Amino acid sequence: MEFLIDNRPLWAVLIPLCLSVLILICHHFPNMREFWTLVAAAFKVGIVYSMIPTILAGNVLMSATLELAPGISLCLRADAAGMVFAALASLLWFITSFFSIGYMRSLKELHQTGYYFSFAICLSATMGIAFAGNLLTFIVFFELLTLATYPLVAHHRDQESLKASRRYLVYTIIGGQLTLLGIAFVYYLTGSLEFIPGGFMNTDTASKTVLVIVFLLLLAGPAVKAGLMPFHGWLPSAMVAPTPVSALLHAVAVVKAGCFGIIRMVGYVFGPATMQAIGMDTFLVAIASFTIITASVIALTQNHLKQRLAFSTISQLSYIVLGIGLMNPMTMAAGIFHLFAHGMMKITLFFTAGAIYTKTHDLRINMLSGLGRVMPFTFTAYTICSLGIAGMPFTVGFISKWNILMGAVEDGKLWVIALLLVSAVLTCAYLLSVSYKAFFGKVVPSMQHIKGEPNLLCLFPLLTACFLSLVFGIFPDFAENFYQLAQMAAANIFNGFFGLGG
Amino acid sequence: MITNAPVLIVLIPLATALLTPLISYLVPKLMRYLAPLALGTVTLLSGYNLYHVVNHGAWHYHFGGWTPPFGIEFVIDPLSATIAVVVGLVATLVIIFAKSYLPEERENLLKFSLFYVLFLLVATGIFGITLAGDIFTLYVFIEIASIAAYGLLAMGGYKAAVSSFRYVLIGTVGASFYLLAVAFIYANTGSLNMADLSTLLPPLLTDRTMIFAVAILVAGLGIKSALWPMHTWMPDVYTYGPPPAVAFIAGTMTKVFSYVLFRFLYFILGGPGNPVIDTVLFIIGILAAIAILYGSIMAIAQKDFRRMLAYSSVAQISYLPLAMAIGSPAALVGLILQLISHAMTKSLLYMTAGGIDWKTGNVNVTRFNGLYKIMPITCGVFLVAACSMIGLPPTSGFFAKWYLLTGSLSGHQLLFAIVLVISSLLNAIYFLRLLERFFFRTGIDDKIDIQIVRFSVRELPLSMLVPMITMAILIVIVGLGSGYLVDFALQYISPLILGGGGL
Amino acid sequence: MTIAFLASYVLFWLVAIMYCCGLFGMMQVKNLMRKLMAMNIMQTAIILFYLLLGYKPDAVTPILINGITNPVFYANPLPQALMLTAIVVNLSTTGVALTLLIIIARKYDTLEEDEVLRRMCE
Repeated sequence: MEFLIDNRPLWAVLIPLCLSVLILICHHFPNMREFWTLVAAAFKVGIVYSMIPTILAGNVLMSATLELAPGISLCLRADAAGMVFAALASLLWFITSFFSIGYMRSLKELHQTGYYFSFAICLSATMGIAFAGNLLTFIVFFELLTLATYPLVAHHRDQESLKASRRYLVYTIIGGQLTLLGIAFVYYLTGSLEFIPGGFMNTDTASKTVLVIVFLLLLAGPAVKAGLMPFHGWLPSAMVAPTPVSALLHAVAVVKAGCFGIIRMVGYVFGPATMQAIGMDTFLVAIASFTIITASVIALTQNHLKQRLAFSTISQLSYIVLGIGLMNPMTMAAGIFHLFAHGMMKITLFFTAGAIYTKTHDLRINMLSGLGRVMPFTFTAYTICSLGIAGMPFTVGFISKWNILMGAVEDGKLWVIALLLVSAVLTCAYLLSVSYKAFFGKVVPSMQHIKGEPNLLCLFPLLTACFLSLVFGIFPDFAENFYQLAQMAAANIFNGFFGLGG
Repeated sequence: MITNAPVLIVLIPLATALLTPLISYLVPKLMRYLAPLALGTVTLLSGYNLYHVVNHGAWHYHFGGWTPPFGIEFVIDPLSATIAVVVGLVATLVIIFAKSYLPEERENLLKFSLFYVLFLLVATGIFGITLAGDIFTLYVFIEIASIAAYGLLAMGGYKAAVSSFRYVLIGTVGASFYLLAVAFIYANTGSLNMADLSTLLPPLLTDRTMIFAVAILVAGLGIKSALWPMHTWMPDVYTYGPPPAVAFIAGTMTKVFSYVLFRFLYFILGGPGNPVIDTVLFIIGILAAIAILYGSIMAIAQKDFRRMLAYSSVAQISYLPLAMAIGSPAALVGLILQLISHAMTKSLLYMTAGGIDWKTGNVNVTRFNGLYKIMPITCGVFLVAACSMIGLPPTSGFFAKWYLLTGSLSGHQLLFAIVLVISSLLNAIYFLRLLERFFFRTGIDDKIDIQIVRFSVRELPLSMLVPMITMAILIVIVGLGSGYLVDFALQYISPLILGGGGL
Repeated sequence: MTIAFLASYVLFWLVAIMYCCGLFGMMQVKNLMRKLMAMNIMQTAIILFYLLLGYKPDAVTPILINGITNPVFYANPLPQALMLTAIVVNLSTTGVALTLLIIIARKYDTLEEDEVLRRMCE
């Protein structure tokens, strides 16, 4: 394994950032503006995917740039774990860009320039989080992401969305500040902020109590973004944002940035050994299990489709945390892979919600009854991905859940089987009931005028995402070897060095 | 000319100030360009000074060839040179900004030239304060800056006259405290030279008169730098003063006084370790912590934009005494960064306040709904400044706060670290609330109910926009380049502080 | 009670009392003009304090007299030199303050602080 000096991680961050300015300039020319969005997204996909073979060969790409503070540079470094997240976010941004155009145009939304602009900034920040090589770089992009998401949540500019965006800011800024304090603590204790596989904090650094406090401080920001209960309050209310935002940010980029942050904190700052020594792994598992079940139950009670999906997201994200907390190479790999798996499936679900909304302008579940027969493609995609989320074999969701199960069984934690079963049943209950109603229910009178599928710009990305989640379910190592990347990342964490491991 | 650079920094604004009335009478057009030119030159000269000092070590300039302790000297070390550069930059940008803000009519010419004269005199005083090498010369420059500032701030109308008069009274009390302290110091040591005093004073600090002298010295400078609870003059003065003047004075003057306090406590009086100084630092640390919370909470309660910024200043200025109280190397680096960062940020904020006032004639924050549509660039730079104030990356405020945070942890002052975090959150409340109004709120029926009082240009004249944008860019550059700044400039601050160990 | 005793103690106390009177006046008096006068008293007290510091019994003005080179016989000129500057500063402060008072008086027709503040808020 080698550290290669390469500026591609830097470009992945800079290109959307620079092109966002063009988006802003072209605000009078919608076609040009959306052209730049697509260019930025395409470039980024290209850059990110061109790095994967090098990473798979066990190398780490570094592009050290500015010096932020003595000994701490704005370091961007692509490793296996970061790559999973970056590849997911950039691929889905590309798909979402098409969907955005279809969605925003068919609904004739206002403030579209600000929307595309913030979107580009968000994705740039997401890349920064994925490639951050140390805690300071991480927090820089983490806060940038918070700020850039704010206008997206407030997109409709009405009382409800302003309230939601304010709520979002309260949660995330408090979390971010606590994390900053935690980072300052880490710097004070160790004098280093560099992410190292296997962690650099150990029980010699400080007393256990101090380590627990530092860990909780560090966890605050990512936990808020990852919607861990009881810090999940912002996520359902943030669903007032346009659906592509909910799809990419509140199912993929922002919440996954939170999960990814937890992976970094656990795997690269504290490390499995220290985590177990201070007992925080049990804490993570407990809080994750609680969230999985509680959020599923709450999801059952929601009548609004996006709200239901939001609680489903909260529940599913905790699988990632669960995988991390179980502290087994297999569950860790599964957790990291679930970043990708859940992203693929959840974005399809949100796309279907958005596509339905462009036709019906209503997402209350009882109003959707019978529409499955009107929009068969849309609802078939929805059903497939719902099954995937529940963990049906041959979908991408199965792979991560199976691995969590195997890892847990290997460690003798048999209660995890029960947890997964209960959760799968609940997931089927709250997601598939929608499909059932849609295919077999009676069409509501006010919806009888609706004919045909949503427009192609909405439908195409949706089907692509659905197709991909099937493909990756059957061949998890298809094309870009995400599964292998996840395993590599887990091996890095448990072996304590970058590279192929083993 | 270059060998006299230190004195020219003070002399050029002074001479320009004296020439301005004459020129405004003879060639009115020229006057608008004279002051920016003078201040620009001074900034370049202080840049040269900084370069020279970094390469050749501290520069002692002796007036008339008399060597201290008999003569007067200017001392330029990397710290004072850095601050002079920052003051110069802020002054230059603000005076360019002021050009369009001032009335155009010919009958206002006198008032117009008076503004420039007083502005340049304030600049003279502040440059003098940063460079002065003995404590009485320092007093003279403090008073030059203050008296000119009284006049300058009174130019905002009748209310400004009242608030400025109160500032005169309180400011004079502060200056008299300082002068009294100088008397005690002189009586006990027989010297006024700072370098001289730094060896003579510390051993004397067991003496009761000297302890009293230190107490009134700190109180005097505390009044001048608006340390809580001696801040009462500030909100009114900053609210009613003319925005360009406030942009400059709020940005630099109070900070320079904090810098003087820093100089005294850390260089002349010997720094922490001495029980007297430790007590003083402890007290100002507590006061600063209260000020930070108090100022932020008061800022949330304000409706007037400028008054909100003034209370925000009360809070933000106190970061400097807080850093002094913490006293660890990282905290002191944070102090310098915060000084630079806040000088730029606060002046930018007042410039946006001035710009909005100029365009809409409105300073009430509840009536800014949808301002973004009318003044996109102003709102954009306000966003940058607000981020810097809250301490969000990648602006300079974030990195200043980072050093303060790590500094307070390594100085074992967890309480101060928590205060800093709470302060950020409180700042976030009032700045993001404003940003929400700027960008996302609309008036009744989705119409923007903001009146426009000046239609001559689309947003603001270029002479206002350019300084604002420049300042915003500088804030980000200082943020991202803070590592270089710390490495290449601040490491020379003093071997005394940073020791051999570095950070 | 010698002159020296007066000079070394009582006069200092008198100056201190004068300073405190000025300070107290600034805080307590409600009329702006009187506040300004109190401020002047305070400033004058400081000037006197400096001059007392430079006082030396039986010394002469520090101009070189033939044959006497021992500095003991000369008064210290520095405090007086400093005070010349301080007087100028006081003068300009007073000047600025008076200008402001004129503006305030013209606008509000009064110099009573409470009244001015009340009219300012209207």
